[in-house]
Amino acid sequence: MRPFLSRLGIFLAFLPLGWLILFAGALSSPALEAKLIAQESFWDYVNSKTLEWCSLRDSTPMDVLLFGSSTCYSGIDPSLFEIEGIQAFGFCSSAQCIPHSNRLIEASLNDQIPKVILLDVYPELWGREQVDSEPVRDWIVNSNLWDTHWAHAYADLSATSRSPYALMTMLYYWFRRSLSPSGMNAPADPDGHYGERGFVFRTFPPLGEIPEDEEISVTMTSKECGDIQAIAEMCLENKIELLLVNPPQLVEEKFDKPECMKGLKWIEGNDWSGAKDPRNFYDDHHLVGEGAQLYSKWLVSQVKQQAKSLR
Amino acid sequence: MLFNSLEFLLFLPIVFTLYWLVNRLTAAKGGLATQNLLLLIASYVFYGWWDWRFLSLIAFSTVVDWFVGLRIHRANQHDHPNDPNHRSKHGKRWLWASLVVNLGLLGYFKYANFFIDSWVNAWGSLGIPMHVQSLQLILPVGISFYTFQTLSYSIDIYRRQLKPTSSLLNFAAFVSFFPQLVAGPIERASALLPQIERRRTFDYNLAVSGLRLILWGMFKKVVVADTCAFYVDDIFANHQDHSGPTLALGGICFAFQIYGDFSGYSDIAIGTARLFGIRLMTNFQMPYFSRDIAEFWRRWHISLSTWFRDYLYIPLGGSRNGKWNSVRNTFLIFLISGFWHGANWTFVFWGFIHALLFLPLLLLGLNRRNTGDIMRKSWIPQRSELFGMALTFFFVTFAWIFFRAPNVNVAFAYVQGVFLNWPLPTMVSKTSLLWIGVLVSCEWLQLVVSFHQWFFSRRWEACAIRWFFYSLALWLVMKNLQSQAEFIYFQF
Repeated sequence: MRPFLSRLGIFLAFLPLGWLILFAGALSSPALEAKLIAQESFWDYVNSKTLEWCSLRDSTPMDVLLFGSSTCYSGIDPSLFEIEGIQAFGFCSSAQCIPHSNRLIEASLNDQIPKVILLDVYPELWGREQVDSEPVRDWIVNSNLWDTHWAHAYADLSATSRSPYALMTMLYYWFRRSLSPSGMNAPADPDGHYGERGFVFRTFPPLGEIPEDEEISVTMTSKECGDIQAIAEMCLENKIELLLVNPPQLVEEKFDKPECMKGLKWIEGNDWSGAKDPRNFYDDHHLVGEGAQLYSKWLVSQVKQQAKSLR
Repeated sequence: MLFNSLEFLLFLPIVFTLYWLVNRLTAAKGGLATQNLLLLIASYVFYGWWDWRFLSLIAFSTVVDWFVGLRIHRANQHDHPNDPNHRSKHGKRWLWASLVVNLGLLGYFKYANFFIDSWVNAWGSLGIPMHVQSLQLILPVGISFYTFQTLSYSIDIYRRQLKPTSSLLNFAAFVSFFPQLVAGPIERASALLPQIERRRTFDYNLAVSGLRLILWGMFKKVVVADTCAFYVDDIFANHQDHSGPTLALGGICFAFQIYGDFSGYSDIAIGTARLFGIRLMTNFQMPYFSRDIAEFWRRWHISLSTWFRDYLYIPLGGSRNGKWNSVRNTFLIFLISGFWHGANWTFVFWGFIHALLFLPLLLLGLNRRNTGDIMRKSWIPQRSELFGMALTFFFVTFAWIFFRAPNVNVAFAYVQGVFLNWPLPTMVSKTSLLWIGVLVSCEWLQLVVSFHQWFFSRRWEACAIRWFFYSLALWLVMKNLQSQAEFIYFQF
């Protein structure tokens, strides 16, 4: 048994060396990197938005920071908040659930303290006991924010997603991003383009009619509730107003607002007049670029109404 | 519990440590009972992780077969104590009891709905509507595997090829041995039970080869099979939208998906068993290097094909009573083997195609032509070998289309699509093809004896290269281990 364990130990000690050779190979060839480590992507433009944030965070104080999933980054255009004289920026990304947002909010507060945090809480993403590894990897692979507090957030998220691979790739990209920014090796996105301030303008054709869909009933897990409470406490500590927004959906999820959300300010996106117009959507809950512009203009008035600090 | 899950990643080292620790602490007292008790508990936890309610089914099957085994043996001893070849009539009754209980459970859980639906459809096609509700049944994972394993125990005792075990604990540990409980290899009692009844001591070489097999199996499942699965699922779901070459590629990718999936599972099972000092039989021997269909069946799912050979084909007369009987038995075996895979006509069709492919070899007496090693003399196969391999792979892949399709109509439409539209492929998964290439290359290198010997030698450069490849494989497994996709053979 002892020789077996010692040989296993030697192999485990050799493992980082083997992976270092692998990383060196990946660094020298984007094709190899795409196959062996990960393929960069423009899908939710985490690369572009984090690069833009790097240039803005020291020069432009933000009134509103947005967090949430795809309904947020392709549905809310923060640049339109300027109509009301509000500076806003979106950190929304694909399938960003509440625990994921919690960790990103914590990291972003090290850069700037906004007046308002707008959290898009698309209910279909509720009900998870742990953070999915794919959205976490999205940030690790595509982010250009690698200051220590952001790297800590990615490490925490990797641990929460229980993905050892995410943790290892994090180490790789921590070093990789000191050599070149993300976005250089990502294939072009034929279905949209980056606007500004974190917004992605989707160019899919709009729907002709409301799709038939099964009604989904969702509930929030205690873990997610804990994260909502943590966000609320963080906001309270930093004197930030927290606004929750349920994005407009052609086919709405049924849910009971959990106890932990009661008492928090809530914007109901389905109250927007265009919420049931299929021409504004490319599927049952994602807005096309033009639809997003209309919704954002409505939303900014709602934000201004609800957030005292912006009046 | 899935082999490709984080739970198993924690479960295995814990059980491994406890198993050998307990073995060491109880060595003075023999230690066998403690080893087997630990194996039994671990196996029940492993199985119960999926659905604890079905543990009662395994426990019931275990008790029945253990008891029946003792009764058959007693009947044999009582009726013909001095004639080792004579089989007792009383023993036969007990054997029937075992067959009825085991096949009854299998039939109820696996085939009840199939027969109900087929009955309703048959009457419906005659214009007589029937209203019989399907049963709400969950198929217990691994029932087809452990049922066959326990059956082999009763049959071998009846045939006087095996003595029953008097220890229920040992027998329960044999039936539920967790590495091979849910998807095989279907181990014979005569091979596994004696190992369970003997105290295991740690074997360095066995454990090292076990770890290698686990890694290789993980690579085949997580990297090759799961990558192909994305592509294959999409093509089979929308086959009408794809061109002939894409459908052909879909078929090829499925051939490697199911191979990677099932042989990957078997490798992990065999490797895990080795960590506990137990040797399981080889289940796959590079089947896609087979030079004809007969050889393919000597290399694919060996534990099942030999089970059918020993417990069905030979009792039916095998190839002894003339060509006609041989042909009949061959068709029966292939059809039953197809049906064993699942309650769907697609599997029966798949078995039928293989029987048809086997028939010419049987009639011409060529079914044992290719029993020797491949590439004995060189690094590359001879031209005739290569031709045989390509042709066999083509036929096997054709049959896999029926295995994969949701129903026979879709399978025929798919096959039609493959041959009718031949523009350029509309969809190619380069990643799937890459990993298939890596898999084939690795297996080919394993066939090259001189390379194999060098690669696993103690030379430092071989060791460094080997370890680099292990770390690369481990990395790729980690990278692809996102979805924890189930193993295909769990559903059988």
